[in-house]
Amino acid sequence: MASPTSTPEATPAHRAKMRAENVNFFYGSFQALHNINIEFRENQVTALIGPSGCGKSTFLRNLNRINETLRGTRLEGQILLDGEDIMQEDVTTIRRRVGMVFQRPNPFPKSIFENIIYGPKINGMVKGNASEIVESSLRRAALWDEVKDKLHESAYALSGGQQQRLCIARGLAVNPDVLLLDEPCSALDPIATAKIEDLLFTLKEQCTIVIVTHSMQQAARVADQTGFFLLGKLIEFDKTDIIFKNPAKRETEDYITGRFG
Amino acid sequence: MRPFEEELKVLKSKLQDMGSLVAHSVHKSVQALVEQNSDYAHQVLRDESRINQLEIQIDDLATTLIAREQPVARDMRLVVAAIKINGELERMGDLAALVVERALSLVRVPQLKCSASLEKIGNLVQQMVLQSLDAFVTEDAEKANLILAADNEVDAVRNEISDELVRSMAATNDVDEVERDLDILIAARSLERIADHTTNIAEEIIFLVHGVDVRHSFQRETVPAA
Repeated sequence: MASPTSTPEATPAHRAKMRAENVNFFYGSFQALHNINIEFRENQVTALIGPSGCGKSTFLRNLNRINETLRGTRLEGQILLDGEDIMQEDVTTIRRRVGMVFQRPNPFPKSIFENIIYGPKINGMVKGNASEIVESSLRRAALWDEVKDKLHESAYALSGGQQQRLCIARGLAVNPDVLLLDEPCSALDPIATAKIEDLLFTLKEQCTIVIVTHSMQQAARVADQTGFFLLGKLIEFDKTDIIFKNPAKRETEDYITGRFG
Repeated sequence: MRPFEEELKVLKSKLQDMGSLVAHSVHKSVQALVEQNSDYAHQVLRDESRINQLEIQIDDLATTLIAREQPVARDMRLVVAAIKINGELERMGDLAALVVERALSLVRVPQLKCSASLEKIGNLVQQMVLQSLDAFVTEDAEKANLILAADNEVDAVRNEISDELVRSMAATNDVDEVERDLDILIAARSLERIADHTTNIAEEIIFLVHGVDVRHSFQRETVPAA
């Protein structure tokens, strides 16, 4: 079967930062992803939507090789970062270059400061500039003003929304090229959600963002491109405007208008 | 069926009610004019306030749907098209009232000028109104395209009427006659404007069906062939 639209009309200003080519993925004998072809543009937000179990999170977790920590999994095809196959690169380098933020905020049981500086430390990026890295990361995650007077207090003392922004700041501290977000707002209230969404608009100036979300309104609000997954296949991938105004595929239309089932 | 789908159906059916009422008003306004019948004219004037009430109800329903359901894709296009078609229909109702106001001043004229042309433009316009309603109910872009094509014929008849009346006005010194000619001209012009509104409705139907904006001839070539 021909793969679905994998490149919305080219925008010369935004080159492809990351690209999946003919990706199949297996949990043991179960094939979770079927021939996925998609590209993520530099300085753009791409949303992946679809019902539970459609493969969107599985796909996301392949982009920084987290899936390979699970036994019995197998990836076919290629995932390219700046044209280089990520499977051929050093895994630590890939995880530094492709950061990830999860559904539930998962700060380390340490101070705010230590949470941020942990990544730069293990990546050998700290050379007497720890405070600067912490401040700039927290500023980029729009959290600095709220925590600057309690940097050495436990990260657990923060609210859920603040913890999630701390996790984003922690991801940003190692200057990733790509930031993956797996339903980052599903545990947050609308105000905390709005803060994260506002943050994405500024963060995309600095990196490429891929967000998996169950909220179609969130995809419509934040994403430049949107991909719709169903049963492990990428059904449609296009500019977000087109997906939400006039999708090409019946399955996409049924899903986003709530007639899926 | 989900409440949202029920509400979309209600929206569509209210718009059909409004469309039927407007079609009826247009029909009666043509009859009032060509048959010089004041009863029909008063009927149109009475119905105008019902049309206005429906306009408000439909807008309220559509804005509530947007606020509560945040529709996307075809649902969104239906709600947006409904709001616009609603406005077009209300304006058509106003124009039908304008036709009958002129018709009332022409009721006692012994020999109505341009009567054959008025009947012709009246029939064409009524047909376009009914076709636009049919295209909306069946969500048929092909039917909508036929309406766009029919507008040229209406314009041609309107031009015939105005040419004849301009010649007549130029040839007379009778102020009353000029006034009557102007009444006919305004009535014909109003009917022609009603036809223009049906073409706007047709464009909204094409947007609803294909998601393509063909207004002012933009993107007309991108409409998928039947």
